[in-house]
Amino acid sequence: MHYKNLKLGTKQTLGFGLILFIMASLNFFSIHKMREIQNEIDEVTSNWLPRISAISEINLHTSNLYVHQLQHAIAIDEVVKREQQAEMIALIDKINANIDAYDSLRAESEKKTLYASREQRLYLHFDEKWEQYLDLSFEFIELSSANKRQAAIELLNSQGQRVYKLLSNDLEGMVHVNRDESSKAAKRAETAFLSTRKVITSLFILTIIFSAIITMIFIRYITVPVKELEQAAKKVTTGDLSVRLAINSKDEIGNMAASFNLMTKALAEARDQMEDQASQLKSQQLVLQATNEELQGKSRHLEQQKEEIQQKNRHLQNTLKELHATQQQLLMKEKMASLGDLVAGVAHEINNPLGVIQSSADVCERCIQNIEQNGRDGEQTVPLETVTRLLRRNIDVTFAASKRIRLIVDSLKNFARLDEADFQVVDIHAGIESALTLLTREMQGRLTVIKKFVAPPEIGCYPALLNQVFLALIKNAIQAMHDRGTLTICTAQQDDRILISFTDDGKGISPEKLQHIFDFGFSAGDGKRIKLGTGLATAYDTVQKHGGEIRVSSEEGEGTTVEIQLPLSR
Amino acid sequence: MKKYIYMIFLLFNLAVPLFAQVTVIAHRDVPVEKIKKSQLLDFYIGDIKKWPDGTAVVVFDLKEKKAVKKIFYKYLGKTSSRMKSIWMKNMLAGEGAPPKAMKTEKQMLLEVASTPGAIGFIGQTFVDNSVKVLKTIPLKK
Repeated sequence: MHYKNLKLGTKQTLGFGLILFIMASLNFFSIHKMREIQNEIDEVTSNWLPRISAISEINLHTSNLYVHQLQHAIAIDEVVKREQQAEMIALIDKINANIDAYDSLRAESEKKTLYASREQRLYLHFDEKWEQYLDLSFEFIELSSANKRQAAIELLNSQGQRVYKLLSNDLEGMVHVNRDESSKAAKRAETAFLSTRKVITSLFILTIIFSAIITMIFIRYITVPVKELEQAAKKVTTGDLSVRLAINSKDEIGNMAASFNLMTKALAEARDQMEDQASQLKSQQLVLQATNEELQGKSRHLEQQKEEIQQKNRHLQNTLKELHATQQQLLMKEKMASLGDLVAGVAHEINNPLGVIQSSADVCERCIQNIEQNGRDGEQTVPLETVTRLLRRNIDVTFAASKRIRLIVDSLKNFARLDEADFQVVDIHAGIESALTLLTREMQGRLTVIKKFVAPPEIGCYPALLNQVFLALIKNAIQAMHDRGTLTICTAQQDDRILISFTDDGKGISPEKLQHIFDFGFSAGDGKRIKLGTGLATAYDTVQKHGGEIRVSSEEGEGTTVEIQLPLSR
Repeated sequence: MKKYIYMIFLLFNLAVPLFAQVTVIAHRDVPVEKIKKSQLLDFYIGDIKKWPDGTAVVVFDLKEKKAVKKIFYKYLGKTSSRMKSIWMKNMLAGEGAPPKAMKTEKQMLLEVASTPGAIGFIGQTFVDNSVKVLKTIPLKK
C-alpha cells in the first residue's frame, strides 16, 4: 500500500514510530555499549590494577625478605636477629595476604575467563620457586640461628639469590602480562567508545534526516492539502463554487478534499436550483399579480352583482310581501266565497220552509175566507170539519217549517260561534253536526252519511276554527263524490288523543298530488270549477295550532281518508 | 583454562587406580581412632603440638611434588608453599622446626610406624598394619 493512501493517524504513527524506533535503538545501543565499556573499565580497575598492585607488593616484600635474611645472617646480636625474625614474620604475613588477594582476584578473572594462560604459567612457576625459596630459608635460618654465618650467607648468595631472581622474574612477568592485558582492555574500551560514538553520531544524523523527511512528508501530505483546502474554502465563502481540490491521497485529508468537492458541487447545484426556483417564483409572482388583479376585477363585479342581488332580494321581499298580502286577500276572498256558498245554502234551506209557511199561510187564508163565506152565506160548500182539519194540518206544517228554520239558524249560530271566539271546552260532535246541517243542500240527499261517534264529545279547542276545519273536510268529501257515495265520520279515543276521521269513497287523489295536498292553493278539483284550494292548508294550520296532527291517505279510485288527531285536554 | 581443569581431572581419574585414595596415617599408639579436618590442620600448622594423652605430635611432609601431597594439602585448604610459609613463621617465632619431609611414601610409612605420636599421609595402596589409619580423604570431583 502506498504511503499516501494510509490514514492520517497511521501516517503519523508510522512517522513518529520510525523516529521513536531509531531513537530507542540508539539509546539501547548506547546503553549496551556503555555497559561494555564500563565492564572493561571495571575489569581494569577492580581486577587488573589490584592484581598488579598485589604482585608488586609480593615482589617488594620478597625482596625485603631477602634483605632481612641477609641482615639476619650478618647480625651478631641475638636481639637484632630476633628483630629481623619478627620483621620476616611480618613480611611473610604481608606476602601471604597479597597472595590471598591475588588468588581471589585470579579466581574472579578465571570465572570470567579473563585469566591469561601466560600469567597462569608464570604464577605456577612463582609458586614453585617460592616454595623452593622457603625450603632454602629453612636451611638458611637453621644455619643463621646456629651462627654459621659464612655458610648461611653463601647459601643466600648462591642458591637463594638464584631462586629469588627466578621468583622475581616471574612476578615481573606477571606484572607485564597484567599491564599488557589492562592496556588491551583499555584499548578495547576506547575502541568500543569510539565505535559507539561513531554509531551514535551516525544514528543521530539519521534521526535528524528521518525527522526532516517525515516532516517534509507531513507537509506534503497534510499541511499543503490543508492549506489548499483553506484557500478553497475562502474562495467558496467569496461565492466561487467552481473550486475543486485535487485528491492525492486516501487518508482523512483526501476524504476531506473529496467531501469538500462534493459539498461545493452540491452547493453549486443548490444555488442553481435556488436561482431557478427564484426565477420561477418571480414568474409565479407575476402570474399571481395578474390573477390578483383579475380577482379584484371579479370581486368588484361580484360586489356589483351582490348589490344587484340585494336589490333583487329587496324586490323579492317586496314581492313576497305583496304576495302575502295577495294571499291574505285571496284567503279572504275564498272565505267570502265559502261564506257566499254557505249563505246561499242557508238561504236555500230557509227558503224552503219559508215557502211552506207562505203556502200554508195562503191555505190558511183561503180556509178562513171559506169559513167567513160560510158565515155570511150560511151556505156550507165545504164542511167545517174539513176546513179546520186543513187548517190544523197547515198549522202543523207551519210549525214544522219554522222549526226547521230555527234549526238552521241555530246551526249557523253554533257553527260560527261568533260569540265564543276564545279557547273553551265544547262538544265536537255538535260542531260536526252543525257542519253537516249547513251542508244539507250540497248533499241534496244523494249521499249517505254514517256517523260513528265513540269518543267523549267534549274537548278544549278553538270551536270557531275547528268547525271551519270540519266544514272544509266535509265539503271536500262531498266534492270528491260526484253523485253517489257514503261519507263515514268516526270519532274515537286513543290514549290521551281524539281521532276524527272523514272517509269517503270518491275518486281519490293521485300520489303526486298527495305530496302537495297541504300546500296553499292546492286544489283536487278537476278544473270544471275554478276554486282556490285553501281548505286543507287552513285545516293544517288549525290542527297544528291545537297541537294535533292531520294525515291524508288516499288511493285513486278507492277514496280518501282524512284523519285528525287532537289532544284530549290542553 | 577449562581445558586445564579437565586435564587435571583426567589426571586424577587416572591416578586414582594408581594411588587409590589418600589416607591419613598415625603411629599405632596414638590415642585416637579418627581425626577431624580442623584437628589435622591444627596439627600440621603447629597450633596443637600434643595428642590428648600428652604425647608430642610429630608431623611429616612429603618432599616430592606428588599428587598425594597436593591432594592432602588441598584437602586442608592450603597450598604446600602456604604450609611452608606458616612453618617458616613458626620457625622464626621459635616454635620449632618444620616437619621433616620424606622423600617417598614408603619412607613416610616407615617413619610414622617407628615414631611415637607421628602423623603423616600416604596413598592407600602403601598402607599396612604398622600404622593406624585415621582418615581416608574423600575424592572430590
